Amino acid sequence: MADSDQRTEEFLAHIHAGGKVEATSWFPDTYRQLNLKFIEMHANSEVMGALPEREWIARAPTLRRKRSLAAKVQDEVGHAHLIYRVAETLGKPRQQMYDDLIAGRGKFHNVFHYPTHSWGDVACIGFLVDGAAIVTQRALLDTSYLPYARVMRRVVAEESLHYRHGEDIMLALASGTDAQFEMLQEAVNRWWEPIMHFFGTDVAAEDDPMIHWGVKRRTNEQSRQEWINTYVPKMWDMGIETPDPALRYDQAGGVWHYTEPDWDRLKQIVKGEPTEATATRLYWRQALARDHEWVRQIVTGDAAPAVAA
Amino acid sequence: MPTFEVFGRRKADDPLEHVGAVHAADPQTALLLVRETHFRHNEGVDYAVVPSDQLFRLDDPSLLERRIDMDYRLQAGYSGFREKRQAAREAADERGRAYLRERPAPGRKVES
Repeated sequence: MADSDQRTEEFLAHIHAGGKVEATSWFPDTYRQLNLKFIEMHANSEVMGALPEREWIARAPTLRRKRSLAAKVQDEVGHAHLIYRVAETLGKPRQQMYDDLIAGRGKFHNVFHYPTHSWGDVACIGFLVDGAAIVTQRALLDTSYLPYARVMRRVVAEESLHYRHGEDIMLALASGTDAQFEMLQEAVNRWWEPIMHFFGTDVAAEDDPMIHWGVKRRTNEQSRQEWINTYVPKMWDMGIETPDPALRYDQAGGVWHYTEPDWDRLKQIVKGEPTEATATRLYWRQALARDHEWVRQIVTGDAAPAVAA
Repeated sequence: MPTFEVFGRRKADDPLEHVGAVHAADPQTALLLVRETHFRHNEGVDYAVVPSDQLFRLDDPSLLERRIDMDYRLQAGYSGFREKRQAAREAADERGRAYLRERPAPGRKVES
């Protein structure tokens, strides 16, 4: 229909001029679907990101770390709630998104499909993986859909605390005993590839529908370069070896060179059979959802609780 | 006549800010009046009204007090990073794992 094509053209012009979109604005269905998919995946990732760290609350080395880690996990679950609410404004009920996630139908970031093996993983997730999320979330402060941008402000502010928590753990291990250092190095060796994968393939801005529609404002490669630029020197200063022998900074070109990640492996992780770690975590989410359904019903008032005679 | 609390935003991506209150017979009239009372000098691009009796304020400020120390939830709970980074650099030296690899000058933006 010519009328709605015209409206879509005007909408895109508004987006390309840096314009913003409210929940109550008119927007084309493509815009709605792209944002919904992206934001739902973000909310799912906050839930699935909390779970690997949650596995270490009971095994934290000190009481202070235990409390700090528990607080971080609470924050991440809080982010999931905030972001699910934003996705809900785009037309999918929040409960349906969560049900899809724990049934194994929901998409979430590659980095949260991996298992954890040691406290070194907690350092890597807290500092390096969270660091990658901070890079992309800071870029989203400028996203066109305003409900999402507002939530990102709160999320980015809380992530800045998580960054300190993560760096504190990383530095403690790096300047600790040989055993602590080796544990950290071993964890970095495993997390390197997932983090490089996290930013996605090098898609040019003009070929990226997410940029065309104003969801993302920076390319995948810009975000990956920003992460390498920020975190690799910090790792080197701690004596951590980055496991890519080709990784180097090109002074003349002003870019970091690295070994191209195995993109088939990324596809396998996010689209193939669930990893054992994912299957286990989702199993427990389903079991707890079933066992706690009676509590949820009382809190939401969805159904009258059964009262013992 | 009921009162309505007024919330406005100066720019599209600002949060709503509590800017005052008006008397009005109903929400629609309130929305018309607020343009004259609170937005006559270009104070904003958007506003909203809520019946005053539908805005439930915190009546017990002690709810916000913390009875145990949770400083790990605050920036102030994390300190001494300069010393900690220095300690990590020294530990790296002692292990023979100092990496003085080529890196951008401080403040140099990465191209892409």
